[in-house]
Amino acid sequence: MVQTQLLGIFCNWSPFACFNSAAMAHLKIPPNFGFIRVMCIGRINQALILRAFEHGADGVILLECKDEDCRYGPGPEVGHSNVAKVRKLLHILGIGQSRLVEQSFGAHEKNELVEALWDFSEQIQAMGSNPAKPRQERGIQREA
Amino acid sequence: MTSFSKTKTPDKAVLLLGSGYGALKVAEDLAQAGIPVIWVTRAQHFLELPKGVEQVPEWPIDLNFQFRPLYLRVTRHPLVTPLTRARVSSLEKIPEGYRVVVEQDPIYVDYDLCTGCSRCMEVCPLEQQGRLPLSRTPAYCPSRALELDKRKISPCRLECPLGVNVQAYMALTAAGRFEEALNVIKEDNPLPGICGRVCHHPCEASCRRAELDQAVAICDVKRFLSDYQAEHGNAPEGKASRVSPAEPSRKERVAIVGSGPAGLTAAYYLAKAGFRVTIFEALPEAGGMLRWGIPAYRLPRHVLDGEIQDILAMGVELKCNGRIGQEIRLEELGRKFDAVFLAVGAQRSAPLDIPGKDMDGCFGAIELLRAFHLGQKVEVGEKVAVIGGGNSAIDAARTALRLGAEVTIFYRRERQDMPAQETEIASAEAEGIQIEYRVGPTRVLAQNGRVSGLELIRMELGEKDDSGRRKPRPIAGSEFQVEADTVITATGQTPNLDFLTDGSGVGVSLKTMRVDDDLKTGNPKIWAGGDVVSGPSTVLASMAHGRIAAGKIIESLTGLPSPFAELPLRIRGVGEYWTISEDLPQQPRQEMALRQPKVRRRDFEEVGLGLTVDQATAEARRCLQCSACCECRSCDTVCSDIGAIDHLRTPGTVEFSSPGIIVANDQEMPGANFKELPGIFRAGEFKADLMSVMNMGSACAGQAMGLALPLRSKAVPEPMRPSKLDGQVRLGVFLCTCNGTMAPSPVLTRILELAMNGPEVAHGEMVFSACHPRGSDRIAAAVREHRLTRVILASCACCPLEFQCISCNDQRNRTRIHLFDEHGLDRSSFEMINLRDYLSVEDLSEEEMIHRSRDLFREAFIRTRFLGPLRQGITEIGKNILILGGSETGISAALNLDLQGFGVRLVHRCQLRKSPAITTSVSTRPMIAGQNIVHVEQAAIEEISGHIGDFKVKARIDGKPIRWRADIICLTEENVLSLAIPEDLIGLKKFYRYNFAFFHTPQPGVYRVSSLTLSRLNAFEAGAALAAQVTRAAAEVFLKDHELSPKVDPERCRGCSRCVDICPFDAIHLRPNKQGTYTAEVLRYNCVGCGGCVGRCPVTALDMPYFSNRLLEEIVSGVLEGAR
Repeated sequence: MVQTQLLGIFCNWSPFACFNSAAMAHLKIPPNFGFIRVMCIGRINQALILRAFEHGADGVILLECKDEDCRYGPGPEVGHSNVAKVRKLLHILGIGQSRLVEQSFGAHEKNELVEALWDFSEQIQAMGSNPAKPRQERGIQREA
Repeated sequence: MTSFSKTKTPDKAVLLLGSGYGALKVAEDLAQAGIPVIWVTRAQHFLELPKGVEQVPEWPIDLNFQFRPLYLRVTRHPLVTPLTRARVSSLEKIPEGYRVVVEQDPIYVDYDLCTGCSRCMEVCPLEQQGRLPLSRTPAYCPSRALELDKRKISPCRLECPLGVNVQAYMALTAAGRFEEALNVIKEDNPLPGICGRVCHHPCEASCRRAELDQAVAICDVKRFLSDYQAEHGNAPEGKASRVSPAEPSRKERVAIVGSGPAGLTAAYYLAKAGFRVTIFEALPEAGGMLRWGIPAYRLPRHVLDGEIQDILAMGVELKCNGRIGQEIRLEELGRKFDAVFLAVGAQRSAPLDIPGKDMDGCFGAIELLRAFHLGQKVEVGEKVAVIGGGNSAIDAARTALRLGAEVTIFYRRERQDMPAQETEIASAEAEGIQIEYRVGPTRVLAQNGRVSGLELIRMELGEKDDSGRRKPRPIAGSEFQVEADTVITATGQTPNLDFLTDGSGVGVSLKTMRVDDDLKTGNPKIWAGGDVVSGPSTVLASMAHGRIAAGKIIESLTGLPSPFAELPLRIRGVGEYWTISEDLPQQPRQEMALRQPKVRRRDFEEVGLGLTVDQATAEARRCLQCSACCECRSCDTVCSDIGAIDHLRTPGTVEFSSPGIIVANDQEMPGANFKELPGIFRAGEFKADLMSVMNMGSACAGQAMGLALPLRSKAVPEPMRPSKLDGQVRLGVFLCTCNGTMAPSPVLTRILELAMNGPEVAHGEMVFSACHPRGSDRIAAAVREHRLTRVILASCACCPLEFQCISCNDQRNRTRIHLFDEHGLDRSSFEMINLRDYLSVEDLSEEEMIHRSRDLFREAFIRTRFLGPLRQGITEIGKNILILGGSETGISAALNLDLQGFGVRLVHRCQLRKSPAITTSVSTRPMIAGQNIVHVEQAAIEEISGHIGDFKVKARIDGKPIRWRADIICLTEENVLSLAIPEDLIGLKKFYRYNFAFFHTPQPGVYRVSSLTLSRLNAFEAGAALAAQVTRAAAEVFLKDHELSPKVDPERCRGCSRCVDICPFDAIHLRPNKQGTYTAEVLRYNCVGCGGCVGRCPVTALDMPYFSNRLLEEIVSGVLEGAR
């Protein structure tokens, strides 16, 4: 089975504070994750999420602050609306909408964050590779 | 915590007293308003929640995180001087306010320098014992810096006449670091092996462990360390190389007369200081009383020889068989040498004045021991009577015993009064020596001129004398006689001063030499010390004299102060000793093995066998480490580059004048009647409501600002340097080693090589610590030297932006302050990557580290390709304030602002088109005319447009239209609040809370007082707090745009208005375009740089600096490609 490739998009605030303290507490993070960090999840537009799938991500998780915790105000709302729209697109494209999730955290929830990453990793691993990827990358052998 | 290193403590500043969240708010408001603040608290940190407050209502559980950005902003603000562990020691009323003197406890780890590499923790010998005096700052203090818990110096060290750092060698011994432990001893005591055997160890008498069970066996541990070194020392040629021979660095010559403990110690320290030292000894070998008085079963000669040899190996010359007054003349020494130290000791037994004392068979103990040790024939017969109770008496008795006699000691008081050491008495008894107490000799019996016995008299004990012991009185008629072949008197010693001539200038008082406090005799070239000055005393006291004399001689010859002269040790440090925990179990002390009495009385082999390795470590672990830090200075060695630790830091004093004083914690008020004084503002106690205390802080700040007007400085806008990001790329890579803890050095070398192979890298180097001032100096120098246009810094800092997020800490922040604010480097040209946290995961193999670094650098290289200018512009702000609403709050704000030199237009009654009713809450108080207040009785407000620094207000007075211009607008009445943009947008409430902006509206430059605020503050305080916000905004005469403010691509924008809908700050407007549709436009004054519009835009028409679309896409593809 092919190892899936996941992308985590961090908001700089609560989720990254969780990530930071998880690292300090030496909690283990799934190895198949790549991360990028922005100052607010509201900054992530739909194009960028789709671009991740285009580049072969098998799953994307948006790690954001809780609705009422956003340092700026509109972040989570933008996140929710973008995720809803892109999930529809992913469904139409046949990639599957459950490959894109968002989850929110308070700044002290490091264990919850690490757990969410592992759960997502397992879930995508169970689903297998992104079907938009070329066959050889998905690990499917040509039928003899 | 000390102030930011580059900021000198100001002479004039507002004094802020007390810690807590309210104080933090006060400091923020004042500093942002351009007023210097000296923040003084007794607390160790600024943000400890008061006891009993575990949960703050209305506040999330992650309270600490939320305060991090504010904390960093305030404590690193150039106008804030934070002083923790400090208190006001004097306060004096002066015309300008108060003259304040603040005293600060010593802070041993410099908060401004400590990089948090924690190497000191690794080398601290107390680490294994779970008693680490070093700790990280607590969670609410966002810094990696360490703190050192050090109390006043321990009693054992204070009691030691030499000031040997007992606690340190106990700690090092407990950690199994025996060589280092011995080095600690040798700093203060050049004869550890000797002292480990014959010292009277006053340290043990003062040991606090005795309160729990028994004192720590300090002396035995010292002996163990010396023995261990002698046995396991890694010097191949044996003992001689234990001390490196030093070539004398000075030309002055010093003569030392006498090679006893005083002379040897003086020689050691003089040689250490580089002087040419010659010791003159009357007898054939060096050692003085150590050799000729103390028997070998107590002090084996190989130990004595070894330590004397060590001192001679330092280049000290020894001349034996030359007695002063006979072979050598004092005057001659005075001529040939630059200084003379007389340490001839007290070499004569004091005669016992009883009949028959001169009979054949009567000896003084000293003379007998000397004769025996010189190898002369000593006959003691079968029965020996020893008179006296000191160590010499016991030494003579046990020596006589070993020569085959039956020995009885006669002492006039009780056992506990005997000056001899308890172990010595016990050993003597175990070996079969009889001790008779409360008896005194009356005469020596003789037959044919030879001693045949002793007549004694019984004593009773009367009143206490000067020594605290009860004075013996003979009981009349109780005389009795004992048989004896030999009578040994050990009742005191006196110096032989026959060599002193009239012209020597050396004075004599009673039987000893007279010296001043510096141990100097009447002759300016001659010092004296040891028993010859003090009369018979201890080895340790003589050594202390030797060291002091050496120090004084050094001071006299060099004219510079010498640390050796600083004895006895003075109390240093602050804070009480560790309390003895109730959980600490009792644990008896380790006793060393002894040879059996019946065997050891046959010979002169050493009695005690010393502690084993296990015993010594176990015993050292019993040490309570009273003063927390043991001051072994191991940490100094690893912090030498950083230089943050200074064990000898002393309490500091800050003196300044303060126009007014803000008290954030009543308990820190210097006096009871203090609150009655003028110019004192109290922010109140923190009970449970965080908002109240912070609001109150703002109110205090507002009131103090009026008084502090002369102190106010304007923030000068940073010059807008054109970013040179378009030209030729010269990329520099800097790798912070974090004082050698980032990764193993070969790994770092490989990471740097890897980074330097990146595209367009023109320069790469390692920096010892990026957050250290010298580290950033180095980076700045290299950037200029190599003309770098872009820089990647791999350290723990994660971005070059100006704001701090909740993950930020002081070290990351400091790096940016040094590089951008102090060195003036261009923020836009930097990319910072947090390599440290990437590599700090446990159990990473070298390959994994390289792999992770490669990932991180790949991302950084992508980023540096897309770096763009961060800030767009600045907005000028003037001093015209419009206050809408003449409530008490409005009047209070107006008066406050007037005091601070603002021009205020105060509209007392406001009418809005939508809500025509005028509330009745308008003040009926008489109007107070301020100098610069323009009063408007009533007006109908029609429209507010523009932005901070340039608001335009359309209004009508009595139906006539009028236009006002204002820089800042305050809304102080309920019915005008609707002029602020409605607050029902998601998350906005939190936005204010997290930014502690209780008076803000979504529109920058418009401030308001809400009903919630008025439920916490009275109207007067609310007005002052409002004024503080206005002053803050106006102090920076130029408002900087947010560095991340986005831009619209008009080609792509289709005017769908989603961005306008999502923005809670009114920072995006739609403008008609030529095509007859609309294009979005960012109002840079209002934008907070959240990027919500960028994310919301369905056509990617909006883009922002640093987190640009192009960049994020590249990084996403890079991350995923790298993973493949």
